[in-house]
Amino acid sequence: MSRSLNLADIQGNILSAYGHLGFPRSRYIFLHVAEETAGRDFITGLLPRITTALRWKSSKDYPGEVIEERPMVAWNLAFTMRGLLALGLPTTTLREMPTEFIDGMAARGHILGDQPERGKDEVQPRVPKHWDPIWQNAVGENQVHILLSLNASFDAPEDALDTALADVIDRCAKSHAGIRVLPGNGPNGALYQDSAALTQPGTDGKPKGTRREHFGFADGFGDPVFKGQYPDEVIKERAIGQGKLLPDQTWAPLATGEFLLGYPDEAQETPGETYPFEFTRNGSFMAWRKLHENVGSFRHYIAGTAETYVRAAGLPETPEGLFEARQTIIAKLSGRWPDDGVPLMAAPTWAAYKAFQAREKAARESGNEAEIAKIERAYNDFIYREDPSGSQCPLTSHLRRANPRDGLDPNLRSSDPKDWNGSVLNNRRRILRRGLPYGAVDPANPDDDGEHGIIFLAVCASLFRQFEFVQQQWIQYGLDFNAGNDTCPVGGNHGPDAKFVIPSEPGGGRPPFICAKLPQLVEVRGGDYFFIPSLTGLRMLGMGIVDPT
Amino acid sequence: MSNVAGKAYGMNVLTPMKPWKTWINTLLFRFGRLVPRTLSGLLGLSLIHFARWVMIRRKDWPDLGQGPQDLQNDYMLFCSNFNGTWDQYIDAFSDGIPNGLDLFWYSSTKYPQSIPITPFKDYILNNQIDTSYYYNATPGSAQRDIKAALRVFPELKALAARQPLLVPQQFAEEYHAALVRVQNDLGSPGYAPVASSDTREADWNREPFVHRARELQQAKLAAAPLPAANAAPARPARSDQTSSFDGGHYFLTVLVPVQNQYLVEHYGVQCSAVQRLRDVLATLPTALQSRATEAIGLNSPFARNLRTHLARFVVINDVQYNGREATDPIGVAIRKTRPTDPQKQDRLATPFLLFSADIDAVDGKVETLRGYLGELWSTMQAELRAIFENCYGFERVRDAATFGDYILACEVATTMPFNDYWPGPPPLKMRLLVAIAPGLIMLGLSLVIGIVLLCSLIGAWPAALLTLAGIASSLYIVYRGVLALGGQPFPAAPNADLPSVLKALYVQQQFTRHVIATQGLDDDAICARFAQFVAVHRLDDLRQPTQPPGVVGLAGSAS
Repeated sequence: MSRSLNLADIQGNILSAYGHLGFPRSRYIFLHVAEETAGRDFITGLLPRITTALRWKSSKDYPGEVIEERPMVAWNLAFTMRGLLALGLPTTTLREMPTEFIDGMAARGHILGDQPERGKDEVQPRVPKHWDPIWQNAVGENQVHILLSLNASFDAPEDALDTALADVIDRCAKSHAGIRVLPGNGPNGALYQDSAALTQPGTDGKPKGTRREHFGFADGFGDPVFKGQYPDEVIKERAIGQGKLLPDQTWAPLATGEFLLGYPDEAQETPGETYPFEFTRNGSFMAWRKLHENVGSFRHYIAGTAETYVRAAGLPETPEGLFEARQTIIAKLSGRWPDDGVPLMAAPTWAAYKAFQAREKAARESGNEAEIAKIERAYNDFIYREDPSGSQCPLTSHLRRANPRDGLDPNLRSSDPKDWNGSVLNNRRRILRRGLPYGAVDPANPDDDGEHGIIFLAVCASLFRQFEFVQQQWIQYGLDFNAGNDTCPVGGNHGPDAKFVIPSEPGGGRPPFICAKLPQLVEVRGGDYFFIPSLTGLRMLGMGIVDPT
Repeated sequence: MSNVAGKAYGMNVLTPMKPWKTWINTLLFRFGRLVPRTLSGLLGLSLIHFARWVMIRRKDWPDLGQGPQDLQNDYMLFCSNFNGTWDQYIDAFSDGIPNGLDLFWYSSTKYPQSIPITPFKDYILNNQIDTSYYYNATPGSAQRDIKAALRVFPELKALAARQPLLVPQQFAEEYHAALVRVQNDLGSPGYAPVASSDTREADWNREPFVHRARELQQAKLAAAPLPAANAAPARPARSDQTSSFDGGHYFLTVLVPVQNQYLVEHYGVQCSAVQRLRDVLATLPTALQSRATEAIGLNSPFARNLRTHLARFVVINDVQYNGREATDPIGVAIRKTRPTDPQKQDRLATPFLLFSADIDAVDGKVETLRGYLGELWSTMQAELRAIFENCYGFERVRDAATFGDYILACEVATTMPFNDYWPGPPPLKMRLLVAIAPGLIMLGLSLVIGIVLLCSLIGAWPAALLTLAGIASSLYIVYRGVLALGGQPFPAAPNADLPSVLKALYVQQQFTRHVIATQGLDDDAICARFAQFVAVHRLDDLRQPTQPPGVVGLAGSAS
């Protein structure tokens, strides 16, 4: 039996995607520490409230010994580099922090694709011009220092988040401006950023949470599985399709050090972190990003492209044909069918998708547990060796870019299985994805303006090696997928010639289809890099006893 | 200084080797070239335009009168033109071909092995020498992009050749089949992802200084043209460097000692020659490879020829000292030596200027190389003078021929060249048996003769000695056989010369637009529009229309 993680020391938002555990609403509050002692007192005061990774009663995700009651609201804290500076951390500790964390997200704008390149005599703005006021103002006494994340349980009172906010504001008031909530989230200058699962009417008529985001993509499948995350008895099963693919083509959990500081990682070493280790161990880093979605452009583009697509694909030019074309294009862009998230690798065509849905429905109706388990596994249990041309799941679809699995193996095409390397080139690029949609879109009249998108969180041990790499090399660039400068059709920047190739089956007699002139679908509205300390780290921060000597 | 040229990163790593270990690494490289399977990971990663490993033995450092080097070690110079950021490259190689890396650096002192990654990265970082000037003829296209274009280009030529023989319906069928074959080869060229915020900033800040440097060089050339040659150049006798020529390319590697005896004048100020050299290289126009360099608007002088794929100048201040080598404490205790006594440390007599270029060549002959150097001299004399006037021996250069002499005198042979512009997996043959057959036959004979001798009248000792001598010479012949055949060039890939690469990139970009404009049309239209495409873009004419060297791509296609 492997040694289990000290769950009581790890903040709960690292190990859990709250949104999937019955916490459909979240609120993010950004704070500024004007006075070190006030900041430390704030942390110490919140320490008893911080939600850890301990397993809860009723949690089906964490089988094993049940220790903790489910909280109504989960509280978690994270800090920017400037926040740690304001809290008086020693220079030795600060200077050993990773470069990208020291820079902060805005300064990394050119790497992430957030900041467009300037012209010859133009002045580059400090943050991209469409970012929310809170980020535009984030200099001097308005720097963002602390992120407080609140996640409300489905059975929490309607005003649970407001009560929590009132509590925070009260604490700030008592600090005599030593710590402040920063306004400026969204155009109306709100004191917080909310996000919530999109709902649809359930069988009982009450709204029920879904996995959909505003475009209609099904989100939140497949999250990395790493050693210690789950008890031994279930981790092997959960690693299938979500851990790492070994050269012998079996799945195993990733190394803990990819997601938590202080543990060996996939490079077979314990990465160097700042001193003292007691402060960093069981912590992690997080990129917090507010991604606006141009839903109107998306719907309009899909509808227009479907009209060309039906002709090229030989579909009937009827409402049914156009519907099939639209759904197929959306699936090819993302890698999963809209709404329910059935992967193209399990159902590459419309007909196969309909068959998959019928199978799932039949299995659920008959209560055939074995069949249900098999179908559920198919949502994540796939590799790309069988689809080198991308005629099932396009090489440059969002899914293959965000997590290429075995697709980058330099010996992928070798006929000798001994040459295969599994997912080795992908194992050190994984991120834990968290977050929920924000805002609302009028389904009858979807538009680009207004407040809607997703709050995207990426948690990993190295923002540079994991999050930034995926964002820069795989989302904003196409080289690893033989696609030159073509970016991700969903999350990438789209210049005037942005395109996306839907490959066709070799020998199938149909030409490929190129989705040309992709509109800009996603725009960043703000964000930063945060350090998520352990409970030990939070205690040390609050007490002011971080000492690397 | 700039290690980045568009999508290429120019890495130089110079690592010390014990002189008695140098031959092992040379043998490993040549062995690798005879057993192509050993290169499959390197080929599969598909991240390198051109790379080379150069064994520089102690006596190989050119002496132009600067004096001898004070060296205990041989050195291995690794120069790579790879795609992606430094970390990305090292990570990909460490994860993808760890054992290959460990073999390539087998003889290097203090090499830590490629896994785990941190000591490996530290070793590379400590022994890396920054590139002072870097030119890339195809800055908007990575190696994979070039390979993709080289797959599209022949497909279209074949289609064009077939078109007159087919009715529109047949043609459309073949056209669509060809389109499926290249459907994943239609990526756009473009600016490289920003390597770092610092690279981007430096790129912008360089602009005014590039213009100033150019004015100075042009003024100097006008004021003091070099006198015409009045005597036949010395033409130092030199044999052809066959191992520097591979796959239709010449891997030129030149080490020129930099003057370090007296001060020079630069913009009216006295400074060291190294300082002036570094400034000249920092302000030499690169390719038009980013928004900032496009704003400068001056293309690289190397873009004036159609033979240079990549070129770089690197100021090597000195060999890097990697710290004291470990000694065994028990041995130290017995010998009563002291670790506090400094070990001998290597020093070069002067800084050296490394000039390396990957160029089109028909063979590895000296005359072929002279032809290239003559072309450089005739197209970028002002720049070459500004660079090499900081080096020893440049006063002897009068014209193209003497420039050729000068560079040839400073050339070192490439031990292991590497390039892959094959459209698919390179058709390399396993040639190990051919290489070692003579040695193996002799080994067999030695054993047979040895047994016969052992059983014969001469004594056991002489017989054993003779047999051992036979085995030793056989092994030596095996070694020589591997070195000789492993040093032979690989065949040239089709269309891997620069004019063809540029044309292929041009055609691929135009074809992508063509596909978008014609998808969903009927067979007649597909047929007619393709005929138009061929007429406009002249697939058989490499000269025009095409993409010029040193730009990102066709106007409007850069994203």
